[in-house]
Amino acid sequence: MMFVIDRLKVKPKDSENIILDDFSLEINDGEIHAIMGPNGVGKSTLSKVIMGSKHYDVISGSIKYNDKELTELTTDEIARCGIYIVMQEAPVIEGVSNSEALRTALRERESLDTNLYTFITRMNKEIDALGLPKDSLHRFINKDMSGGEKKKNEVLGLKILKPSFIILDELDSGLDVDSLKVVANNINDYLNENKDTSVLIITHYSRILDLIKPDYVHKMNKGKIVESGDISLAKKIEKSGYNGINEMDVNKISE
Amino acid sequence: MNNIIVDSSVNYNKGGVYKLTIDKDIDIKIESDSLVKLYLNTLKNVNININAESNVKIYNLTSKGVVVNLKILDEIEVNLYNMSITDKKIVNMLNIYHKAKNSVSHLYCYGVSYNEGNIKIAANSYINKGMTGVNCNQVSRTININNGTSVIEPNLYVDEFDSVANHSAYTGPFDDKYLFYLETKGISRDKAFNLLLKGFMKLDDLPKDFEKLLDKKIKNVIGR
Repeated sequence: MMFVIDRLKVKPKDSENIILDDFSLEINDGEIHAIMGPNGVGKSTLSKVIMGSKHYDVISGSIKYNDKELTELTTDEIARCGIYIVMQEAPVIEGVSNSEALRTALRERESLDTNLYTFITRMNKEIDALGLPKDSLHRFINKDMSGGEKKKNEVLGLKILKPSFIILDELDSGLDVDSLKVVANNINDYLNENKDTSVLIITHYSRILDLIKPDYVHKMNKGKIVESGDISLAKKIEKSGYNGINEMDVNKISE
Repeated sequence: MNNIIVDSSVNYNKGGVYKLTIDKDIDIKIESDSLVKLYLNTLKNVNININAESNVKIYNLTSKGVVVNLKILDEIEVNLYNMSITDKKIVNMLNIYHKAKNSVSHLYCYGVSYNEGNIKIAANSYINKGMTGVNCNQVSRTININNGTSVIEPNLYVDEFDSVANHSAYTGPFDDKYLFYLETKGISRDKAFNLLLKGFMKLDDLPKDFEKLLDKKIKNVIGR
């Protein structure tokens, strides 16, 4: 067992509203899990809490990765455990280039090679594979990039930093069909080369799941997983919508 | 890079890159047929008076109180970058006077106030009646670190309808979302902070020796 969330209860720092309530999830090496749910059920909060965001309080429960308790670590320590998030909305950071940020990130991981020539060669190779502009190496982070290019830029970081656990938070938002395919193909290539890498996909829609195929799909509502299954659950949600399934659940309970 | 020994006044009539270390009040005249880039390292509280008759980019790095009076005397474009890093109480007053029609000014004020520092930036641009076609812009940003504080007073004194004037200003700490983003890449908070600080102050076309000066000042902040 690799990644385990156990009965997690979370609220924002500045509010008493419980966002994640008794949330549990287990992900083994090499598995791909998708969490689906409508707006406001706590999906993106989950990704931020895993990454140690200071904007939330963990009231109870735990998040363990390879037996390390993540709720006791800082964000950078969590990332250096091998966890990487492709953010829904990555910020533009003026003055800090992709190469500066990623090379600093590599230096922080003593196990990874930071030789300048090797680094530039790798960066250029991945920039080409993702179809990013040639000058992306020296561009300020996400500066003058379209929504699609920003997502590709995030995947560039993923391929350079070689994580063992990937969180894809609304990967398809802001991506056109062609860019989505490029991004998904690059992630699939990475997963093929790194079979033990696990993925947590957070999404509203099932279209991303046609490109990065999950082993398990979970439906989330009111801060917890309310139903789990395989890809057929995603198809069911796509067909009936979240409300449709909720109504079905209510009927089951009344029976 | 041309190193100039500074007297109380200096003229530039040839384009190129110049560096000045300033420790007393000075009058500078720019009248060249091509772009002059002027890098100023201001060591004391001084007044700097500049008369510009040709295109010029001026970079002023300081930890002290400075008054810059920049008069634009021809149909030219002027860029003034004022970069102040301090843990003291200082005032930087940047005055731009458009004395020619169709002249263009870009004033950039970047400040870092750390420990018990307090920076007041007074950015004043003047467009008098009759100065048609003037384009005047101000961007002011200060970052407060630890107990550092800062005030920005952007003023556009415009008395001519046929002109354009813009300003933007920000004062506060680094946005937490930038630090969080860099931390999610595995960069420690201190190193993430250093990257942001260097990125905030560094401009694209700083010469190496000037960049070293800036690095030295940034190190003071980082080792705070």
